[in-house]
Amino acid sequence: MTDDERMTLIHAELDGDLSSEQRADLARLLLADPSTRALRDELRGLCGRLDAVGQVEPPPQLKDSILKRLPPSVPVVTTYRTTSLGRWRLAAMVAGLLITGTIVYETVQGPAPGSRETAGTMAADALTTVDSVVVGNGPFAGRASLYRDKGGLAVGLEVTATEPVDVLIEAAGRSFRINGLGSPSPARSTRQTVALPGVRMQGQDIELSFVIGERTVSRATLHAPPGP
Amino acid sequence: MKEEDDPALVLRCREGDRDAFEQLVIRYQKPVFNVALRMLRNREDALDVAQTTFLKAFEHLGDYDPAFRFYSWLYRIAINESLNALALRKPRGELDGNTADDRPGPDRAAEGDQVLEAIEDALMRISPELRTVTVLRHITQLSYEDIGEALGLPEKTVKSRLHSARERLRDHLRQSGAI
Repeated sequence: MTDDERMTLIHAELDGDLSSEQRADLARLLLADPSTRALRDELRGLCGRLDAVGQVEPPPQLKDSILKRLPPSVPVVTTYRTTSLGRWRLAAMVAGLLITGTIVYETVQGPAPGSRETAGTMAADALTTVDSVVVGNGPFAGRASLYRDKGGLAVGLEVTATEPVDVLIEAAGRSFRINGLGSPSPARSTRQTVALPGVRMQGQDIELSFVIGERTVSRATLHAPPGP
Repeated sequence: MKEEDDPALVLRCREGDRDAFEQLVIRYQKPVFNVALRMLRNREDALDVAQTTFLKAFEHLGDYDPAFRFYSWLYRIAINESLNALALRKPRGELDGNTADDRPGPDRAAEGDQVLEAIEDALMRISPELRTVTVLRHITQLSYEDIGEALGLPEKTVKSRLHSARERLRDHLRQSGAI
């Protein structure tokens, strides 16, 4: 029996999924092989300990703090049809799958700026992603990335926002600002890349602040490691 | 008095009854907070995530598909919010365990609960994807089917991830001398 088969049997037992045949196989194995027995006992003990972690009580004020922050408006109801799929719904699903595929591809590959979106002296075809973080948590969401090429560093932003977002970038004692990022109506993802002239790979942090109106709604940090 | 089930409460929420939403908060604040706490290992962050989870649930109640279980939908929001918080926490790609507030508090130290601490340490050292299934299975005691629904994954994938998680956790606990 291979190690994989042995592990499959042990996990199946822990999951309560053993067939009677598998149960007999495992019983034989446990009798014959002390190392399997030790492994099974360790994993069983681990599951027991995990189950015993249990749940702690949240602070009593949590409920009130949630209820206090609820918006006054009643949520708008979307009607879900349970009847057979119409042609248009099917088409929408196919379109959705294509969009999802694109998003997954983008996520796996990491966002890369288009050449038209790159400001300053950045050569778009030679950009390398240095760092990337998820940003936003509410009225806007997206990703900020740090790129470099021979000319220097650039920050790429791809966000979806319900209101225009101003982005303040502070790096190496310099400040940069992007005004009105996002496309409120209709809300869709917009992307912009700005060069950071005079900022080098020196192991410093690049601080981003996202502002809607006068309110800072999120912050993020990109890190430029020391250059070669 | 008989407790109303989730679909009835959700229906009342959609009709504008805020008391019904309060009932849902009372029912799920503890598991949602605990999901976030075990994902993030930081009480303040977990509180933020729990608040945001319920606020987003309320705001998007109109988008909730009653074909799914309400709590699966709620846990999905909680997990996504926790993952967002983790992503914001580690802009430099460090291990979660290095950036989390994983120092034992005075109560924990006094209790000397080294096993729990070792498990929490180990949880923070596995990937967020593996931690997610572990937390949903062992902390909130969800079934594989519910976890699959919450994460949008086939049950087989959930099991496979959980098996990997157990083996990695065992390795970490071994390294730390906890087993």
